[in-house]
Amino acid sequence: MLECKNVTKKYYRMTAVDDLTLTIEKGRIYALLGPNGSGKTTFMKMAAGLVKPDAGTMLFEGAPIGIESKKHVAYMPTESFFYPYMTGTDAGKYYRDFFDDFNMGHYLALLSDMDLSPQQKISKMSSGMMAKLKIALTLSREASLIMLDEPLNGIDIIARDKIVSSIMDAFTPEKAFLLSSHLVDELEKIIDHAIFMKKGVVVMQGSADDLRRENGLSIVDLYRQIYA
Amino acid sequence: MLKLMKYEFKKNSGLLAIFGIGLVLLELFYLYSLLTMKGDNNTWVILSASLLFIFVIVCFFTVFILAILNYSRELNSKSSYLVFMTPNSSYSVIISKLVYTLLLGVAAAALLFLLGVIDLNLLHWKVPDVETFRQLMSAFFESMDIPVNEILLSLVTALVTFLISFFSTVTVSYLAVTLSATFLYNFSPKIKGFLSFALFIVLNLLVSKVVSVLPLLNKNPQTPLEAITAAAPATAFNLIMIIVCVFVCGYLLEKKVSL
Repeated sequence: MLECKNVTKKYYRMTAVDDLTLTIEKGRIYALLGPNGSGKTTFMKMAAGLVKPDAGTMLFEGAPIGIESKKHVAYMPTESFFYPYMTGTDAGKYYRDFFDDFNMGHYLALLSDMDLSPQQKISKMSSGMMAKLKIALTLSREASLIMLDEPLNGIDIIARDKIVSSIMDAFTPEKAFLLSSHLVDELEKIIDHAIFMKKGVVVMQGSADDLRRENGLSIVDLYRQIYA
Repeated sequence: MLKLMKYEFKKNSGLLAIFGIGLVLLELFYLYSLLTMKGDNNTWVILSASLLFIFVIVCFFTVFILAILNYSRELNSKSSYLVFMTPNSSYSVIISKLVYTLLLGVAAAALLFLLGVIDLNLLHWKVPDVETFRQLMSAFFESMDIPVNEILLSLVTALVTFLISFFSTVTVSYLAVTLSATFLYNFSPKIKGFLSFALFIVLNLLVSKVVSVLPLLNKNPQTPLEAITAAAPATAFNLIMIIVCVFVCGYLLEKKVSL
């Protein structure tokens, strides 16, 4: 589905992603793991077409990242990216206008499930409420590749369970999910595949079961071992 | 592209509403001053008409300043994700902003022109000594001794020339903003802002310099139309600048953007 070959992205003197080669296959839920500055967000932004690589190739379904890939790739950034005038309903209408795969009914149901009012202005929402809204928007797209950057950030422990179950509900074998998070223990329950990144390179990756078996450690413990 | 333009309008609707309310309040002030005017005491009418005139000028130029600021804000804030995540080409994004600005400018000019005609006729109704808009125009055209069809042609040509020149400035500033968001993205926001402004000044100075050395087709124009057509090389250059700037901006956003 997504193929990256020798992808490099530099910001001034810092190399955010360094000669990265990676393949994302459909039917899997990937965890993109690593501390701040490891290149996770830059990688996702490149796959979403928001950042252009300095070198290497990035293909989605065999074609370079561009207008066509944006129709099938859904990306949820960590930051708030809405216009100041927008309410939850406005954000939904915006997605409906631009993404053919957006399901407004499903979005409103997810908002209700997450105890969010569609009429509330997004700029007046708490960080946790905004995080839930962003997840509802992204999961309401029937995209082939769904990338959630830090989906559990700023969300209380009760709501986390709801979000994890929403992610599981949205997943189908035709899709691939790529989730980045510091809260590895929350992701461990749902992921099929783990990618550990450090200073812009992949230091370890593989099926979650294989990694656990080969190393005799849980993904959480592996994370500690790699980054501690 | 229509959807992109729709959201350009929505983003600016708050500011446009403020301008609308300001215009309505000043218009009401003018009408009140006119209707309550007694004898020769026209101080309030002059004051309200002056305020209305200044406000109209400010509104009109704000439309164009807004076009540049919006683009800069779009590329330098996280809301840029909203636009650039969608399946639209960078060229569509830029052209939608330009067309939106053009439509807004034309709509604002038409509305303000209509308001001016109405206000002048109301003034004539209250103070018959003041000439109506039509009388003013007739007197002006008669004094110029120019055929009506040539006057209309001159007006249309002047408007097109003005718009091309103005949009040349807008697209040059888009280019400066785009350069700061692509080649200069590694700099801090303050330095980027300064460099972007410096680029805007330098690029516009260069364009003015080129325009100033272009030949005039008619060294001694006798009519407004001749004067406008004499500057055809400058207008053609401005038109080329618009096309080049849009193309370069689109290319840079397509190949180099880092949001």
